[in-house]
Formats: sequence, C-alpha cells, structure tokens
Amino acid sequence: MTCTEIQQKLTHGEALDESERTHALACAECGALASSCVLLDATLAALEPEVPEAFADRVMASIAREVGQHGRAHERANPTPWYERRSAGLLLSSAAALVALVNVARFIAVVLLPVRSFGGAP
Amino acid sequence: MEDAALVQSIVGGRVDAFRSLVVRYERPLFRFFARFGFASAAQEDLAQETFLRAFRSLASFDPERGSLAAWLFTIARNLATDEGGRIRQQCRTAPSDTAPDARSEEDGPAELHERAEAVARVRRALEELPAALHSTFVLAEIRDLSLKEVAAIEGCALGTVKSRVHRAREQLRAALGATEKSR
Repeated sequence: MTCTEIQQKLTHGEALDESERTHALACAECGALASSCVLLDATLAALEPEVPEAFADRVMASIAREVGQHGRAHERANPTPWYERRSAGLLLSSAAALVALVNVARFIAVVLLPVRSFGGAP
Repeated sequence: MEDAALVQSIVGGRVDAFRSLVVRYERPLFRFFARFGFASAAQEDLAQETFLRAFRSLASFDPERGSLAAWLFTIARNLATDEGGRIRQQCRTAPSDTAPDARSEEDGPAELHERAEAVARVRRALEELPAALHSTFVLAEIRDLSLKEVAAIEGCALGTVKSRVHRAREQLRAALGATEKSR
C-alpha cells in the first residue's frame, strides 16, 4: 500500500479499507485528498432529488392507456369474424331456443291433442 | 423477486408487476437525470419516458447479455443525450430543485449559505463537464451499476471509464476547492 495507490482509490471514488484509512489519517497529503473527496461526496449527496408522490401510479396509468389503445388498434386491424362475435352467439342460441319451442308446440298440437280428443290411447 | 423473473412475469402478461420494477428503479433514475442537469419537471418526464420505452421493448431484454439496470440506464442515457438535450437547454436545474438535504439542526445561516454555495458550484461544474465525461461520471455515481456495466453502456473500455471518473472527480473537487478558498 503506497500513497499513490490510496490517492488513486480516492480519486476513483472507491472506499478505503481500515489500514488505508489509518494511513490517510496519519499522512498529510492523503488526508487532505481524503477530506476533499469526503466533502465532494457529501455535496453530491445533497443533490439527491425527490421522487414525486404517486409517480409509479402515473407510470402505470400511462401503461394501462397504452395497453388499452394497443388492444383497440389490434382489434381494428384484425376484426373478429361475425360468427365469433358475442352478439352472433347470442343470436344463434336465441334462434335455436325458438326452433325448439316451435317444435314442442307442434308436438303438442299434432301428436298429444288428437290422441286426447279420441278418448285416450286404444 | 429478481429482475429477470420479474421481467418474465411482465412479458408473460402480468402488466401490474411492472409497478415493482418502477418502484425499484425510480430513485436511481431520478438521481441520474438530476445529476445530468435536468430540472425536476424534466426529470419526471424523462423517467416516465424511460419506463414507457422499457415496457414497450421489455420482450427484447436478454438477461444473458447484461443486467436489467444496465439495460434500463442505456435507455435513460440515450434519452438524456438525444431527446433530453433540447429540454435541458430550455430548463436548467433550478437552484431550489435540489435542496441541500445534508444540513443538520445546528447549522447556522452562514453554514447553510456555504453549503448551498458548494452545491451550486458542484452543480455548475457537473454541467460544464465535457459530454463523455459527464455521462460516464453520472452513470458511475448512481452506484446501481458496476464500472464494467458503465463501460458497456458508454461503449468504451473499463480503463476509459476509470480515467473519465478520475478526471470528472478532479474537476468537481477543483470547483469545491474554489469554494473553500473563497471563504
């Protein structure tokens, strides 16, 4: 460990170990450099900015907007086929229910009612 | 959760997990932009833009090629040097933007004035550093990155980073020395 090595560490902003600190306290040249480096680090630390309140919330809101816009743009570029749309599904299932209802009515009218008017089964 | 796992989770569709990433890196990013000389409004704009750009291209992040911190600060550095140049000229850091927080209860008006003067001198000296020196020093000063990572971001050798940090610190110490002598 030489003065040059310690001074190099100090000017690179590296931390000194115990023996190097002891040397810096005893050596006038290294000591002066060490105290000016400590002063510089303290001054730089005073430049610490404040993170604005709810900054993360604002970033996440921007991302949510972007994800939403991306989803809508994707939908416009690749429209869903009519038969895969929710409205088409509802329409088809309603039509199927209507056909089933008509068939039940026809069964009652054509098969059950004539049998009853002849007094039941033979 | 580690950075790589967090990224995998976000890319896999858990967009809300991105908040953890924002919380983890917001302070170092603000510090980076503040030391680069941006006023607080610009710091927020640039930090937000950094996170948005990171989110858009998160799928391209490869942990094999470097840390998430290095990847994120590459985006921040490019923003600071390219798009930020315009903003920086418009609004240099206002003196009240970075108040000297290191004051103690016993400090009198004279001590506070001296400290504020030292901070102002260092800020000016930082802004006057040549571009390459400035960028390298600020990245190295963040302490979230190794000097090797700083070298990768700056696209130079490790020795160059060490030499730039050394020169930058010399200039800043000289600026502080002028404060000391002026007392």
